[in-house]
Amino acid sequence: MPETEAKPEAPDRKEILEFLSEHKTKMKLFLKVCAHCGLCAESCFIYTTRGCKPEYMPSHKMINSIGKLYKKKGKVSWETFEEIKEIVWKRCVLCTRCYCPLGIDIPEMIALARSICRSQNVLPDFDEE
Amino acid sequence: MVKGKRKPLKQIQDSIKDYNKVLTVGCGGCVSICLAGGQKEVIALNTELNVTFKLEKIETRLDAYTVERQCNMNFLAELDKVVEKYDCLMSMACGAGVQLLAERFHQKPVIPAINTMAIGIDRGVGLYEERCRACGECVIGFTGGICPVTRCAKGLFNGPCGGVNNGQCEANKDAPCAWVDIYNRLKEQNRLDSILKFQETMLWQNQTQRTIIQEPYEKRYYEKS
Amino acid sequence: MYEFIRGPMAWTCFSILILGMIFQVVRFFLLTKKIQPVRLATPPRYIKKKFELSRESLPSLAAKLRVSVVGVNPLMTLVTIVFHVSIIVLPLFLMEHNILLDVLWGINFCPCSFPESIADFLTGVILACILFFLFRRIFVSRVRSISTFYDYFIILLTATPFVTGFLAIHGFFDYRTLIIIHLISVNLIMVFLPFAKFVHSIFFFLNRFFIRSEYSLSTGSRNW
Repeated sequence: MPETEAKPEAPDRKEILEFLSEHKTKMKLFLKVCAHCGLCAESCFIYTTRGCKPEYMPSHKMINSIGKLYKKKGKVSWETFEEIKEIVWKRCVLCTRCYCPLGIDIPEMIALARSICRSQNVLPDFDEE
Repeated sequence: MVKGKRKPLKQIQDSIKDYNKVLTVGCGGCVSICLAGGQKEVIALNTELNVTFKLEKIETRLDAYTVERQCNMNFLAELDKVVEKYDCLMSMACGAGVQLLAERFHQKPVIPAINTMAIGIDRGVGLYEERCRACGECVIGFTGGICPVTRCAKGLFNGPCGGVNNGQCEANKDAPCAWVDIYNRLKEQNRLDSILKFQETMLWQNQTQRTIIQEPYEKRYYEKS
Repeated sequence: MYEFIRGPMAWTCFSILILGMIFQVVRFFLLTKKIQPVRLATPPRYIKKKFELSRESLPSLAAKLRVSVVGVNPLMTLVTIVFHVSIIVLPLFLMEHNILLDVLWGINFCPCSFPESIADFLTGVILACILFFLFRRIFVSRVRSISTFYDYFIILLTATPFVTGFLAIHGFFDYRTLIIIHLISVNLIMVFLPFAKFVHSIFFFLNRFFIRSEYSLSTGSRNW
């Protein structure tokens, strides 16, 4: 597909903050409730079929995508966005089946990270073969 | 998306009882979302079958594997090395996934463990409603976003039949008549003229296997004329 | 100093605990909405499944257990349950605490207080669980990958009152110092409970019993 616009120098922090503040209470609560126990790991089929590597564990994905955006208050570089893109599209298919003993809705958090990525035009390479 | 439901255990049991080593293949796509064929259901089915076979003293080994999507060859490649050891594959994907799995591993018997039910929407945890029959001729632009093919028992295109009773369908007393709903919605939007135009009936002919190509990609697949 | 920690500080922390918990619960109900129940016509030959233990039901029961957290992580589940029950039960039924209550306000549940041997045993169990959590955090790579300094601090904070209480009762070191550390750590836990990592103690119940999801422990009646 043709490049429509030149990429701005840095991601639009204001726009990111809009997303972050809209869901702030719930998301921050989820991040706080997470006891970092690791019990979600085996519920993710990507984790179990790709050699049980920590980076495929749902909580790891959630902490390093949406968690990072909240921690840095939306001030992230394009490099960070590339990492987040890798996490939310390549390591998660949003099958919505993660187990959390504390009832945290991890898929919703990943979905929000995806929306923020889309708003910054950071998109998965769907037509790569 | 696609909604499925697991077949009865007895049926699955009968279809694999002649094989010694079975690999149950789950799918992380639609069937995982509708709680029918994801990793959890694969493990649950294997456990259920294992215990059943053990009680009946039948020797069958079942293993589990879940791929991202069974409807794409790229995701099936990781199974190549795994599949060799098994005499039978049991797929928990939708009809499309099962067939692609059978195509890739055409030397192995492939058995479906779920029934593909519908293209539908999520109403609640484990509750789904059919919304689309993939007829390939979408008319819901005229009918106020309500599909007469799926919702009307007779698939009528130009208004209700004579069987409407107090807004309910004559074929199923618990189902509201699609055309009453269409009328009400269009009336609400002040768009009733939309159903006054005559709609050609669906030509249910040439119902051979369809191929779907997204427009930007047509030139990639069609031969130059 | 001891009087201050035992008096005003403890009361402040206890108020923060109670008010904080009320705040979290109220906010939870404000943030979530009740789900409109969906009613479907019951099909004619529908038979409601009842729980029974029989040869026929064994396979499906085994499958349910296998995919639940008990089947996936049996050791962690066991340790977690034992640990959480113990840390609530032990302080409530500890003889020394009950004597304190009796002396202060004449509340007496001494008959059901634990004898020293059970209290010591439970302390041992709790500390063993804490060590299990600690070692799991250090040696299991997936848990280590998401662990921060904060997580280790929380583990340490939880262990402190049990260690100091045990040492104080058995006359090790200086009783006064130990009890001061014991009280400060408990006060800290009370403040941390509704607002920091320990908030999972409240949200375990709220999320798992009220929010409707695949893993709810009840039918669930609310949505975020």
